[in-house]
Amino acid sequence: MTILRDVDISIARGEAVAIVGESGSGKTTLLGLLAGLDVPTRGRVWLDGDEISAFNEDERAQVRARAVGFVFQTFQLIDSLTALENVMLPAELRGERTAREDAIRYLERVGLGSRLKHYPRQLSGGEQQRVAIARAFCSEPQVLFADEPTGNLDTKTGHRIADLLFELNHENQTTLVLVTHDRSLADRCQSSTELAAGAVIA
Amino acid sequence: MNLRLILNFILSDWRSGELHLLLIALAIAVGTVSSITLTVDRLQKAMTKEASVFLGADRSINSRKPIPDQFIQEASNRGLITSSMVVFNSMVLSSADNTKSQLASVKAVEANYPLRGKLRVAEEPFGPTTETTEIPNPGEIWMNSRLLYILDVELGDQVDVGYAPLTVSGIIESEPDRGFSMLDLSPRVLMRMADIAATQVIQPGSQIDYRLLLVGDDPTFRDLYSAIEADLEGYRWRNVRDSDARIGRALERAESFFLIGGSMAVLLAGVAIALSANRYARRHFDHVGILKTLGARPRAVLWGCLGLLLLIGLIGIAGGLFAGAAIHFGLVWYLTEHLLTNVTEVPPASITPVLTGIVTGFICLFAFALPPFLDLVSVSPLRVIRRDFRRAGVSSLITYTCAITGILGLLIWYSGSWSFTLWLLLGIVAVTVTFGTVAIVLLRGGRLLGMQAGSVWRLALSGLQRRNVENTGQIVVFSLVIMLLMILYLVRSSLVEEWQAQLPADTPNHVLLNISQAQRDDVAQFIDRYASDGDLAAFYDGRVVAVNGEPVREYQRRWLNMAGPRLSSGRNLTWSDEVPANNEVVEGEWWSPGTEDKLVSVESDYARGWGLDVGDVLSFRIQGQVVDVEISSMRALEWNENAQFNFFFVFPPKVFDEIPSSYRAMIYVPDEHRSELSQLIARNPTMTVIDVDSIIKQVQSVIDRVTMAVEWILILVLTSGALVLLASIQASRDSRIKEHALLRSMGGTKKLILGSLTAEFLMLGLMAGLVAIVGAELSLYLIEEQLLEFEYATRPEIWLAGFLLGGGIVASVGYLSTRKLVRLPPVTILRDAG
Repeated sequence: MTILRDVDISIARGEAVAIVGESGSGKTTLLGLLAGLDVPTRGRVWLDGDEISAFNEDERAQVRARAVGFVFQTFQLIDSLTALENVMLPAELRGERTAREDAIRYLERVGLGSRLKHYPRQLSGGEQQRVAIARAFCSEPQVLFADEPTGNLDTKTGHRIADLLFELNHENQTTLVLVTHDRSLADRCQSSTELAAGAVIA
Repeated sequence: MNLRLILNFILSDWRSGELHLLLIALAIAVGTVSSITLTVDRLQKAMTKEASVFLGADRSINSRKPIPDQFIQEASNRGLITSSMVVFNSMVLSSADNTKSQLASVKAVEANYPLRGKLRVAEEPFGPTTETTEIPNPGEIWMNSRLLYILDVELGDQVDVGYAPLTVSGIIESEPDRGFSMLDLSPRVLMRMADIAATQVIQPGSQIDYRLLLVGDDPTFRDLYSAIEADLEGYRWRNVRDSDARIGRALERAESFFLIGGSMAVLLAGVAIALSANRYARRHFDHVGILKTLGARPRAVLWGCLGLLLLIGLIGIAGGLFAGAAIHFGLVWYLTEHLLTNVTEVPPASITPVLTGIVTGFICLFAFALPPFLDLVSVSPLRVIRRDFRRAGVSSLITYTCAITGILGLLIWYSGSWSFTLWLLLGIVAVTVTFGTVAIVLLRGGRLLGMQAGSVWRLALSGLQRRNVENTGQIVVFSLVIMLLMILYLVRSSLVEEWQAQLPADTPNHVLLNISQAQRDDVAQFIDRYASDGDLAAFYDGRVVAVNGEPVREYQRRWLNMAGPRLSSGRNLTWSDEVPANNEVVEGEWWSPGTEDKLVSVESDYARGWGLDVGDVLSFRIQGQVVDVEISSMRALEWNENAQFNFFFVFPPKVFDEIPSSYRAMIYVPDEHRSELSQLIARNPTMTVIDVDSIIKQVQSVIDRVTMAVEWILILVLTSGALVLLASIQASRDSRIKEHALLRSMGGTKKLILGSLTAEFLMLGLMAGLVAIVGAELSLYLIEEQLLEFEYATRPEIWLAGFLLGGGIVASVGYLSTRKLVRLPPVTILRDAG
């Protein structure tokens, strides 16, 4: 089965790109390949100067730890960790000592300075996604991959989250790859790539 | 929900692998229980049958009075096979030379004797023996080799028993029901019941032992027993267990062991079912939520759940019975192939074990799996909107009541004993509460901040703490399993050790009696050369006639409450210059070798019981002469030591200077020197030889068989233990998948995650091991002292085993069963693996 075919895109440093398309068009698969979460059966992927499609699992993990941040549709916070601990996680993985101060700074930046010790269960959906955004930016990644970041939120909250995402992206000069089916969200990016049935149509 | 929907559910769950563990747990529960009960059932029957050769029958009725025809009639009416027998002592004379005579133990039997076991006969005196199914024809007689020597007769010659002339037509060396008494001194003679009348030996007042041998099945025996019970006054109803205390004890303890082992298997399987049912139900909250939003009413969900459970039950139980039968037939094949020698056919299985398996399966399923399934009924449809919506949940009270009631009923039914069940359950509840508390304390100590993903060990430790509720459960379960395994293994070891200690490999297999002074050196030389272990001692018959000049009967009267052996009875006496082996002088002093003083050394318990002290003077009558001796020492000795002769009274050699002595020897002759033994016997035909070899070998083989069965049970229980381990690891699988995927999306390497997994399970295992060790020591103390009546001693090997089992097994099972999760590409995080 072929999920993606003849996809040839390049994304410049600092650019914000949307990948749009219907459900099942292959958006999420493409994101996974770009972020080095998976490798293509054929074809090549470069990230931050490395040909990650030629790397093995652990080498790609190192690239991710160094250069990549994620925001997921379903937030993906660890239930047994507090907001602060969740945000500290990527820095811990890199073995950084300053994790705590950075994490507090970013949580304050997303407006959750007073909820550091709360567990995900005690937070609303919007708040959970803010924690996830703080976690993504806290490691100061070169590229941020966001997979339907507002997909699980109501319109109003979704707007606020999107604002926050673009603000932080602008502040940190991060490259943003945003997967969404939401046209209005895609329009806020500098460019967008549309997929249909595994092929780029625009 | 209709049946089709339920079937669809099951099919899709099966395809997705959701159902595997629950079904396997159920199948293993049923399989273990049914194969254990099936095997124990048949093995017990086979072993009882095997052991019944010691009785020559399944039951016997013994008496000094003739067995009433009514008994025989009642037995035959019920379809039991009967065989009558009389045993008495009588002089046997050579018809050719009436000066040659010997007191013999005559056994007169019917044509179908023996009902169990085989006779062993020899072609020539002291020659090699073979089994036979024949017995002497009417008018004929078979006798021991040594009787042939003493009477100086050959095969074909005639001897007289009482007034009956009988032709010697065979040499009998052993019968299955000879008994294990070494004091059964008279040589054996075997003849037909039909010839008894002609001997005219049976007169009013003569000492005759009447026996009725019976063969049949247990229910018929119970029926017969109750029919004749009122008339049994003066008759002894004997079963296999009465025939040999050692075998009886071995069988009883093996049964206790099977009972403990079986109960633990049921418990473990129940825990495995509860764990996997719980996980299964949790994963279906969403489905049920959806069904409810679609309009399914709680009642429909309830019936659906029950139907689902029933179907799972049927499939699991059928699989379990199949597996149980397969294991069982394997076992039976193995046991008959390697163990059973006297019984070629294992008795058929009864239906009970199959029923046990089915009932166990349903009780386990409903006690352990119903509560989590009922949780499904109460799932709120709101869950569809918010996945983390907290369920109302069946109260934990109901859950525990269900599980405890189920397990209680099962154990009582299984063990047939309220007190055993209550103790076991109390123990387990106490252990769970204690273990749980200890586990929480171990886990909570110094909560780490964050996930500590920088290092393998700290990541593992934080993982342990973050999942502390699950982990407390796992530690309790792991430690219970490890503890149960250690307990079973160690109880098995003590059982086997004790059985084997009763009959060490070099247990004397021959007793030589009536060795004259002239023959002594020949025997001593034989012992030196061919017997690997032996004891040769002088024997004198004698008795105490006075204590400090007071006639012994009057002295004895003052010690009315003394229950032990009497002071006035005839005793075996001996002399020795040295303290006998395994004896210890506890009071007074041993005499210097060659002393001319008239002294005696007395066994200390016996002396104390009769108020005797060092310095007291005892008068003995020894073969017609009265000798006064002074008590010079007391000896403590181990009476159970069966490799040597033990004496209450030991004298210096000079005391017996003018008294003719005879010797006895107890020796172990290895098989390869049996021909030298035959030569020794042929050179000294007046010597009496008792061959206990075949009896010892029989006892040994029964004990070996029981040991083997016990080991098999252990393996089965071990399997259910491993399953519980797997089920409980599986239960934490979902939260692990999510964490691993997330960590890896953020750049955590496989090495980090695998390392921390292994470390986490290792720590979990070590904690569980520690808790299990303490629990095992405590329970062993209770089990061994209370149930099996052993002496308890702490065992250092438990500590090593606990940590090895805990750390090693939990770490490797944990690693192996979660390793696959790490292999999933991290892209699963995008597909919402949580």
